[in-house]
Formats: sequence, structure tokens, C-alpha cells
Amino acid sequence: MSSIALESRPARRAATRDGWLILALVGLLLILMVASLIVGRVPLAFIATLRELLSGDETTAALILGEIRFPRAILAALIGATLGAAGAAMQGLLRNPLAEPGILGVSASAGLGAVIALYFGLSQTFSFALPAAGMTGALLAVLLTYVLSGRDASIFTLILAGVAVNAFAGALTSLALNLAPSPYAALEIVFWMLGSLADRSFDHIRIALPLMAVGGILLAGTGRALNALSLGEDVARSLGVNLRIVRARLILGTAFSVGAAVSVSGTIGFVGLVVPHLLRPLVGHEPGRLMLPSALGGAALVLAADIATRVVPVEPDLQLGVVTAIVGAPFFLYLILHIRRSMR
Amino acid sequence: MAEKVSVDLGARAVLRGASLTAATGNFVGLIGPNGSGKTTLLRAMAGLQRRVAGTVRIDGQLIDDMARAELARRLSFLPQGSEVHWPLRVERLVALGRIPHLDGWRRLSGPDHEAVAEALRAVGAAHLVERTVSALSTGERARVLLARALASEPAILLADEPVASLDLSHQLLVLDLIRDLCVQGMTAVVVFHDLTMAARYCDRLTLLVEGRSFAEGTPDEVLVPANLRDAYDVEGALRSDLGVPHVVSLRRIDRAPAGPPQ
Repeated sequence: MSSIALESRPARRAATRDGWLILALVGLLLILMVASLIVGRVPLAFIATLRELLSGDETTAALILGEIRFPRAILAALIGATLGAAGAAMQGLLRNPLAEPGILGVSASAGLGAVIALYFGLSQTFSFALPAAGMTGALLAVLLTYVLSGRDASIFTLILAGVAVNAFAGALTSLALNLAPSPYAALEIVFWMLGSLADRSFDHIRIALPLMAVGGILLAGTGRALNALSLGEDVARSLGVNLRIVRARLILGTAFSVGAAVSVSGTIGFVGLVVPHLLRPLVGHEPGRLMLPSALGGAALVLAADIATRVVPVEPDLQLGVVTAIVGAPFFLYLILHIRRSMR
Repeated sequence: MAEKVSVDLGARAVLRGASLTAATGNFVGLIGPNGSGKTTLLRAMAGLQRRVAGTVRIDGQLIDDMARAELARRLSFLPQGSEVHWPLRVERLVALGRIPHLDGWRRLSGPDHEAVAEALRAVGAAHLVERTVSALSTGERARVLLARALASEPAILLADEPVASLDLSHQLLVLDLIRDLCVQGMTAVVVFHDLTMAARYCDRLTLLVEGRSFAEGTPDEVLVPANLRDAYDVEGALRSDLGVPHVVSLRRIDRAPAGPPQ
């Protein structure tokens, strides 16, 4: 009996360590959440304002907190969680640490949908036209990727189809810029594509959350299959994994959640690439254990980046996607150099 | 087990009605020259290969009628090479072999850890348990991957050249292990390139040539000079003057290049 106790120790240690990691990330997330509520153009006495808000006083400070900063912080966390989890899912599915949520063309196509809505001015006549068009773009991209790569697609064909969809969506976005009716319209499109959470309301959460939830549910529970995929597709199948279902869940889950995220915020790069990469060594490189920590880490990173857009005093305001890319790209380079040894 | 299996890859017919039978507890060697379809037949038997014709049965039951999870509990598949995409810890890697026994959200428990530890002990890799796969030598990695395949405690092991990258001592260790497991009732179908090892360990051999079962029987019956000549274009013989059987190849037989297959 003693040998059983002895053998089960490492696994329990792994589970406990994941527990600590998740707890630490949740703690970080909460701190950033509060910081995101406090920091902004208008200084707020946080506790007092929170009390006003809860008691229903309609002071300006309470309105700023309740109608502007709360939705913005929640949206930042949701979008970050989505990007982090989807990044981990795509890296696991494609077994490639360079994969990111947009690798199958979902982000670019959601962006294209939103750009089309901006181009035709639909967003002015109908306020939800922009996110709706974005999500339509994301779903069309997934359909196209599936059609291009076939039902029993290998991972390789899937990536190639994603490259094609990405390129085509990029080309159509450039076309929209090229044919933009006015410099102002072009500027609006460019700024939207940079990614931002400014001026978002609870309505945006209401639009994005259901699809993000569907996406999250699809992604959750694929962990064991992702672990099995570490040994290649043949072995995963021989271990009883139904690859067709797992692949469909991961791709659709990414399309729903990332499509919804991009539709309300524009493209926010590097979060889905850097966060799983950063956390992977902390979960023993197991793709199945990576998804939840990546969601939490992504949420924390986007919150932090969004705070940065508000504290860096430049005019006009920094856009969120610019901050994540400017910080993310050099950091990613550092990670590659640092982790290269263990990835061999 | 496999009857008259035919497989096309692209326009090429790789298997043309190949058959292989493995009785319970038998150690069956699957041999044949390069490109004869050994790997494809093994994948077909594991249910991983779309067949044009033919059936694969386990205990009389068609594998197409079996749920994938049920098949996974009974049959273990170990492909050639050592594909591991992430630098996992050895113990966690071998534990992947327990996936067929974990239904729903159940996590690894006592018996699973016991099976993992036992599999690692059996392949002589218990000391590697805390190591990372990427830091292992080729031979260590091959043994750890075999432990993964054995961790599910399969009734049938399908292994594609499991000893190809091992040194002599570890070849004997692994093949002794598979033979012992067969004595305990496991059925093994193993692809061999080394005919000496095949002759020495296998109860029966199936010789594939150009996608057909060319010969089947005990090593003595299959590895006769005529078969070595016709299958491998080699003049050779099965000898046993050191007390163990070994296959000697004397020289290549040059043939006029064959015409296109009819």
C-alpha cells in the first residue's frame, strides 16, 4: 500500500501547484480589476463612490464608475480571458507554440466584417451593426476554412487554409481602406482596427457575452484530448479521442469567442500568443492544464494594458491593441530566446 | 485478426488483400521489405486507416462496430518514431496511456498511478520518472513511449519497430518484456526490420510483399531461403548454430527491374 501512496504524490503535487497558480492569477486579476476602476481621467474616491453607486445615488462619480469603468473593466477581463484561452487551445490543437487565436483567420475576418459595417456607415444607423457584422465575418471565416481544408483535414491543411482566409480578409480590408469615401472614414477604420475598449457600455457586454460563453463551453473539456494530441494524431485516436469532434469544438469555440471579442474591441494582438507561452512551463507544458491559467492570465494582461492606455499621457489616447503589441512583441522575443532550450 | 485488407493511399494500392491472424497470447512478427505495407497494415488493424476492402476483428467482433473508447481500452498502438510535441514530464507522458480508462471528468487515481509506475519499471525507465521528455536520449525516449503504450494494460499491443532505435541490451530488454507479457496473455503484433530478432522472439511471422501476405507461419517456416530470395532479393538462411536463431544474409541478388504492376 505504501507504494501506491508514494506513486500518487507527484500527481497531487501537480494538482496543488496548478491550484496555487490559479489562485495567484485570480488574485492578480482582482487587483488589476480594482486598479482599472480607480485609474482614469477623473480621479475617484473609490470606496465612497462605490458606496454611492450601491446605494443608488446618481452622482457623476457613481455614473462614471457604474456606466463607464465597470463595463470597461469587465469587458477587458472577458476579452483577455477569451484571447488567452483561445490561444492556448489553438497552440494545443496545432501543437505549435507560434499559433495564436487568429491563426485560422477568425480575427482578421471578424475585423473585416466590422470594417465593412464602418465603411457603409451601418454602425451609425444601427448601433449593433458593427459587432453583428464582426461575428458574421468570424463565422464565415470558419466555414470557409472548413470548406477549404475538407472534413478530415490534417493540421497542416488547416493552417494553410487559415493562411488563405487571413490573406483574403486582409486584402478586402485594404480594399475598404483604398475605396474609403473620405479620409475621415479611412481614419475611423484604421483606429477601430487598432483595438480599444474606450466608450464601451454594458450593451457591448450583453452582445459579446453569450457568444463568448458558448465558445468557452466548447473549449472547456477538450483538455484531455489536447494532452493526447501531444503524442500525434494517430496515437490520440488510438487512445479513444474522436479527433473530428475535438477539432470542431476547438475551431468553433475559438471562432465564437474570439469573433465576439474582436467584434466589440477590434484586434488586440499578442495576448493569445504570449500568455499561453508564458504560463506553459508553469503547468508542465501540458496543453490540457494550460487553458484555464491562460484565460486568467489573458484577462490580467488586457486589464493591465487597458490601464496603461489611460495612464500614459499622450494625445490622442493610446489604443489598446497598440499597447499589447508594443509590449508583447519584444517580450515574446525575450521569451523565445529564454525558453528555446526547453522547447527543443 | 485482419482479413484480406486492402488500402489505397492516393492512387497507389498499398495493401492488396493482406491478412494477418494473431491468436491470443501470441507474439506475431510483421516483416517484409521496405514499402511492403507493414505500417499500413498495422494502422489498419488499429482502426486508424480507411480500408478499401477487408475486415479487422478482435475476438470475432468487427472493430468498425466497436466504440473508439472500447477499442482504446483493449488495443494499444505504438507508432514508429517518437513524436512528442511538448516537453512533458515522463510520468505525465506515460499517464496519457491511462486516458482510455478515464471516463468523463475522472482524474488519475491510485490504480492509474500504479499502472504508470509498473509500466515504467517494466521498460527499465523507473529512474526517468521526474525527467522531461525533451531531455531524454533516443533510446530512453523509445522506452518511455513503450511504457505509455503498456500503461493502458492492453490485451493487444500493435507496435511499429519498437526496438529500431535501441542499443542491443535494450533491444533484448524490450523484446523480453513483450514476450513475457505475451506469456501472461497479451497479444502482440510487432513490425520488425531485424529478421534475427523476429526469428528469435516471435511465435509466428507474417511476411508481406507488395501489399500481399506472402508467407505465414513459424519463423522456421517463413524464413526459408526461397522466401528470403523472393521477398528481399537476398541470398540467405536462418541458422541456429549459437543456440539461438539468426538470419544471415550472404549477398544481394540482382534482378532485372520489374515491369509496372498489372
